[in-house]
Amino acid sequence: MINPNVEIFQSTLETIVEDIKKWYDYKKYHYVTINGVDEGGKLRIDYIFSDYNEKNKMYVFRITDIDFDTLIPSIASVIPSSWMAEWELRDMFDIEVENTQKGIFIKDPNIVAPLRKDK
Amino acid sequence: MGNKIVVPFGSQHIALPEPVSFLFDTKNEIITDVRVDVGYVHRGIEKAAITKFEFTNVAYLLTRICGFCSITHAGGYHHGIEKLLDVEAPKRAEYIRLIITELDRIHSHMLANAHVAEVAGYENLFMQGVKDREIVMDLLENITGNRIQYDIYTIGGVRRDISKETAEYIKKQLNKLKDKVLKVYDFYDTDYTFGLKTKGISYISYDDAKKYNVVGPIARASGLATDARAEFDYLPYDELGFEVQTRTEGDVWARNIVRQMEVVHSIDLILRAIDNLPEGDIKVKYKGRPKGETFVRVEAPRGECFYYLKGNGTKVLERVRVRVPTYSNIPILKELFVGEKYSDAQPIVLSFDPCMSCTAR
Repeated sequence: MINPNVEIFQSTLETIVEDIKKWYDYKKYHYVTINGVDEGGKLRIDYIFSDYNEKNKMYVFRITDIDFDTLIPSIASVIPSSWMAEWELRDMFDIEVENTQKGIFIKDPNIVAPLRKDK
Repeated sequence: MGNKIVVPFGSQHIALPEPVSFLFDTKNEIITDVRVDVGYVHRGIEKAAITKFEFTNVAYLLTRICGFCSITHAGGYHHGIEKLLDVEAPKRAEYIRLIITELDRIHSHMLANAHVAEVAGYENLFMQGVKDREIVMDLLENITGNRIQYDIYTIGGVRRDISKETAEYIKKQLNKLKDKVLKVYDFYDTDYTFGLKTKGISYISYDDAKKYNVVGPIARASGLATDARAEFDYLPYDELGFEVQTRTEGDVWARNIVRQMEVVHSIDLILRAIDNLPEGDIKVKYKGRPKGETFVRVEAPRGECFYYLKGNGTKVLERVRVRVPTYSNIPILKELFVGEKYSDAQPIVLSFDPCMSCTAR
């Protein structure tokens, strides 16, 4: 059975860019993706990383209780490849993310926020 | 100096097996900027997985994300759901899972390399690669019943066993395949003209591979020894002597060579797995419903595939997240085009072995 060793750091919308910037070293850590979860009217966002040198180790920066009308800051200034996940977050949850455009994953304007429970 | 010309590449293009759109700004045939669009085959699979299917059936949906790496999606899901259900598959099942996973990697890599050979002008080599690949497709059909979309994974084990006769047949066929693969490897390694067309094209440095979080054979061709098979325990790779295959050249040529090295290594791993196949059951029963969350990393042919599962104790999961390797490699691909000739766009794209049906899901 798999045995992921996941360390979770709580963060906030105001501090997430700074928190990741302080901790992240691209030579040691591998950025995996950004994941959104609708927790019943509120959004949770996880910024997920793994460790190049430690087996089964994963790290998650977690922000909870986000309102869907909030602007999410972009971490692309720290992790240049994060834009894909940020653009997807916008399409899947219809939430504003800094420096993103709508429509890269969902072309049909009639489909809005498929991963939100209230849509 | 020439004028700026915008050249569309896709969404439907003769060199692309799947729809993806690149809009190249070019000047004197040199690419100066790129816009990328990946969502032409979005099927709402993550949404369907949490609304239309019970957890026992979600795997049938997820394995249909992709025809090439369906076993990777089966693996990502089942290793996660078994963790949430606290059920451990028997050792024999783990070995059978590994055998199918590596067979899948072999046929995916062989087709990817054949595609690069084709766009580099070696159509005969493409035919040869696809013909040799049939050996693997035949083995997969023999073991699982299907050439693709083999739903051999089930919660708590696998659906089919490998008999002694089948094991002997696999060994015989893989030894035959190894000879053929080594000949093609020798060609890729030593052919002067193939080298002229692929060496030094779309170079990724070791540092950039890390900065852009590149995964799979693309990263390993730049010397970055990252591989979920070595970094995450999900199948018994350690017991079979798995070694990460790398090169340092970082170009189209090195990507082909790494994939060819991995084909040879996968054949060796399968042969060792067959020789050491443990006795015992292939499946255990499980009880309950998935509760809690888990994070899974598995290695698809194209690189690391990440799964996040969240269950709430009901029959339907609360969240299924799939992050596939092409998704992770698109950002560096976009950067790479700039400064390259438009005529090299085809081999660059195909050296990445992109999978859009995985990326868009």
